[in-house]
Amino acid sequence: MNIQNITNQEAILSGSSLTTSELLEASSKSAKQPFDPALIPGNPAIWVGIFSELTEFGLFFVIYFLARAHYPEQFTNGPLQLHTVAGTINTLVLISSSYFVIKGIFALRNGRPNAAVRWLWMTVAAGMVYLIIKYWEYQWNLGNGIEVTTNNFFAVYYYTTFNHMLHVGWGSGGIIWAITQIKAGNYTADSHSGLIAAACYWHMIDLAWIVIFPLLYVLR
Amino acid sequence: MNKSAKPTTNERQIDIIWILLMVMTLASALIAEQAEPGLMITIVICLIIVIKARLVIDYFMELKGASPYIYHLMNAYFYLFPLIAVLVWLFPEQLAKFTQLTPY
Repeated sequence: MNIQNITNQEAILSGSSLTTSELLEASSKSAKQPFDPALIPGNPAIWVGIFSELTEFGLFFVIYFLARAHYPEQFTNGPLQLHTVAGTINTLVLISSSYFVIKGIFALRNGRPNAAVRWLWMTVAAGMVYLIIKYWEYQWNLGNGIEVTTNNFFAVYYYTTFNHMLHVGWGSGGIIWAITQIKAGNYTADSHSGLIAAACYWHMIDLAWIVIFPLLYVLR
Repeated sequence: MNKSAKPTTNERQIDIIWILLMVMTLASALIAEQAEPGLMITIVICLIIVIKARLVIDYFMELKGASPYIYHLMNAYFYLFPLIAVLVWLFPEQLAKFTQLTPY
């Protein structure tokens, strides 16, 4: 008995009039992701920006890998001298900020613009907390004699984290812009692609840190 | 035209994903503080990067239902760099030799 017979019999037993091909097609469709090639979250321009930024971060990662291969001792000892708790708190803060963004989007979709604004202000606040912790961490480093010129590990650490910190700064500006547009009534439950664009950019900043944190603070 | 209103997730999922991401971050920090460097630790850390990135891409960015080009390109990026991290841990001398500007 082949698969086609079994499927036909199952269809007959269940009272369904579906043919085998229809059943297989339905099964195939359910197994696949419901991709929509025409659906570009936000707008095409923001994705040019996002992939450009990721390319930039990618170059920083390549520099990290090359420097690590050439100066293994510095990259084994370097993470031990960094303030892991500060890095961890900043990771938790950035992940939470991404969570606040998507909660804001859900609130707007559900016709609650005031709640959306509150969630988005929480995102901005998280961004500010991140910047304050990063500033404190740099001061703590300097107090412990860790500077850009200390060795190659710390040069990579400062250039990568400072570049990322700048992105948190102007990413917050994008979220504040979205807040003003919601308050002005320009972004509604049905039309808010500008907010989605700002949100995707913000998530990209979070994603970059998801790679940076383990590379610099954890891997030895 | 609004190209954003196609939710592929629900709020309950988002809450759970957030908690998962927080737990995985704390696990990474614990590894940083406690574990001795090694291949297995490196692989675990890189796997955590991949899982965290996938969760953000699928659920926070909601790219699962969007353009497959964007979705697969984003995923590929966050598979590629953790993989390179493992390879660099495994073969640092070969990479150093290959990228040496002056001959040994």
